Amino acid sequence: MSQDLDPLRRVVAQLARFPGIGERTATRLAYWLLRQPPETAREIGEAVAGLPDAMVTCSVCCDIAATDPCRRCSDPRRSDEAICVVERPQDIAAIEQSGGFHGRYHVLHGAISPLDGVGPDDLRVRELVARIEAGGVVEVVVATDPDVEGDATALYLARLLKPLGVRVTRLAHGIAVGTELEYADRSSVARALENRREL
Amino acid sequence: MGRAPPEHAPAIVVGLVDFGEADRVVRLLSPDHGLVAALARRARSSRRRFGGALDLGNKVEAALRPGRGELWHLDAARLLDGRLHAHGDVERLGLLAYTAEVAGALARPHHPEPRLFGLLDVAGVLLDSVTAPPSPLFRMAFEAKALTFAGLRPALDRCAGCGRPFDAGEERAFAPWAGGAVHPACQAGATPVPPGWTEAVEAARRTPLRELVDAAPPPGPRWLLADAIEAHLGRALRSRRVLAAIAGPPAGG
Ligand SMILES: [Zn+2]
Ligand SMILES: [Zn+2]
Repeated sequence: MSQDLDPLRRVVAQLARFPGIGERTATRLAYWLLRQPPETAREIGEAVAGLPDAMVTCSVCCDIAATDPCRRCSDPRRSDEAICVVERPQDIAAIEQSGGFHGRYHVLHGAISPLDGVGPDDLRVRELVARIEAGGVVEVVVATDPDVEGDATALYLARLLKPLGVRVTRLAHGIAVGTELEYADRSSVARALENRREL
Repeated sequence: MGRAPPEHAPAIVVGLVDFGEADRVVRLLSPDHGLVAALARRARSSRRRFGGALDLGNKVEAALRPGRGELWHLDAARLLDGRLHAHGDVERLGLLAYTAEVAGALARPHHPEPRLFGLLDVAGVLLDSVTAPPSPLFRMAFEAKALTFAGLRPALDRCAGCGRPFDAGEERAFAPWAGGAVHPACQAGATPVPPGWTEAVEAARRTPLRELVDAAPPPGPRWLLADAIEAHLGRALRSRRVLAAIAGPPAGG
């Protein structure tokens, strides 16, 4: 379909597929690209084209990473005693920037969402249970969003994991109600880590 | 052309869908307008914009403006009654979502639905005030009442097939596609129900929800009214499967 378009309109159509980028922004980006030296477009194109094959799911923490196991799972300076559980890969960056956590991570790739029909079996919960059953974990810090989905996920995990002999805590206070972790500022995340509570 | 001032209406949040990077489409059940889908700009990205008001099951005062077509605009939402205590256990949270989905699915868009709104409001208040998951009869009564308020009262004291009232002690079955209980001979394939089941469900349908929180359900099937709702909608209730998946493990399990 897009092969029928002229090259400029084809680029606009492809850029407009990104979330949050409309036809107008896509057009602006395409014309900006035309004004740059030719290698700019080539570099961007190569980086984008190589992305899907370059990234894998870490078989330990389920983060999207360039290596398996990922950099954080292989880092010997991190503590194995605590696992921070997040909904999305990009939430890890929010926790990392706070500087308040030095353990491992686990990415669920979603949250229990009754209205979307997403249950625990649709998330990377089995992998998390396997990590805890392997031993060495003392605490699981649940960093799901403060909404119905995040709360349901945290409650479910607490009920599931506590019998395995780990402490289950949850980020609390500091992140304003109604804000997704992705949008929280650093100090809020740090405070939330300080005030995590038992579930 | 000047922008019309928003109308302030009580409403319960029955659905939330992310829209673009920063916005959300909020599905609201309002007594005067029934089901309204409204665009809440910057609901995802700004913490100050709507505070924590737009969480599933919350009762809010919504500042609504009609938009072009079906999608309205939600300019602001003030929290009237939150349901944060219902976030105390995963079953109640699941039920909060399930009742919202059922009421939202049965409500007509842009048509007054005061009774469905009132039912969902009461269910939310109760889920927020109890400290343990309510009896399955609570959910079954909610389903029967929701069907009734949507003009689909389930047949429980008469046969949905032949229309004849049941005689005492007569064998009964339930046919979700027919909208209620039937004589087994009137609808092939209907699910048999034990003696007393239809009477108990009909009694629950007429009993205030608050009196059913701890009431024992009758022996027999527990999801037939949900089946009737799904048969009417022609699709599955998405939260139903999740509700089953997050149900508490048996004691010691
Ligand atoms: Zn990893
Ligand atoms: Zn009959």
